[in-house]
Amino acid sequence: MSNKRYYPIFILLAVMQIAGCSTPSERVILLPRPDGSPSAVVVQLKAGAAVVLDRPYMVAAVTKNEIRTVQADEVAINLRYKELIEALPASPRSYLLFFDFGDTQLTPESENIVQDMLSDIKKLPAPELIIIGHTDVIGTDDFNDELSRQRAIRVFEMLKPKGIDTRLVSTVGRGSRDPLVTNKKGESEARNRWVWKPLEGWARKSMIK
Amino acid sequence: MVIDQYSFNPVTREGRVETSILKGTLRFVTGLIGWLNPGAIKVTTPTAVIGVRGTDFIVEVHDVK
Repeated sequence: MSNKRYYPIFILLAVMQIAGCSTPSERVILLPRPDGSPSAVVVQLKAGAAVVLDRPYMVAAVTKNEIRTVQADEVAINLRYKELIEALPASPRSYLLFFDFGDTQLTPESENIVQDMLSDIKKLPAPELIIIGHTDVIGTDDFNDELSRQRAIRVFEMLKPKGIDTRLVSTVGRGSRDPLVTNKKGESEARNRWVWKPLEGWARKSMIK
Repeated sequence: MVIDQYSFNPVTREGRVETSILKGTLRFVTGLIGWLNPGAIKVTTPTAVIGVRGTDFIVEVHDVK
């Protein structure tokens, strides 16, 4: 006889354990990060006491005067909060594009990536894009802020001729604040002349529904 | 749910998010603001305050009898 027969009973017990006694008025549940990186929340009563949730599916059951923590599991939480768990939009996709030194001209390799990217975007009915421009550390901050902005705009302008709806597209220039590769101040680094372009999936999902 | 404060500067990436949940269930997934400055995110419930450290979490608030 397989263990599977006992599975539903196990789930029920787990849920009852979370529901718990003394009917907490509030619950906070830590969910795992998609990439498995550590995360935590601190839950603090206005009256003072605090707990830290630092393991996935740890639950803080909060009543007016106390907080209790319970370790729940994935099965129980996914069952209880099915709708919330399923409502999460798709993770954004991103594309990295690189530019010639001091210019808004894309490198030949990046021109190819742009073509792939444009055909991906074209499939989305309401693409939400953030085009973020960057520079290396050569030059003044003012110059680099403007150059990074122009790089982002340059990519933005490639969307319209392709018939892509740009109402949910924004551009921003981060200057030399986010070097992809750290290098000495004043030294040119091709890999820092880049544009990052996360492509949000939520709009696509909600539009199809 | 009330958004008490929301600010984000996309160039410098400074910002704050403060929300209150009065009743119901909320799933909170933090993005760039929480990643860069976890202290800049605060979720308040009727009895508690939740501080965030790069996180995805659920808050559930019931009516207090």
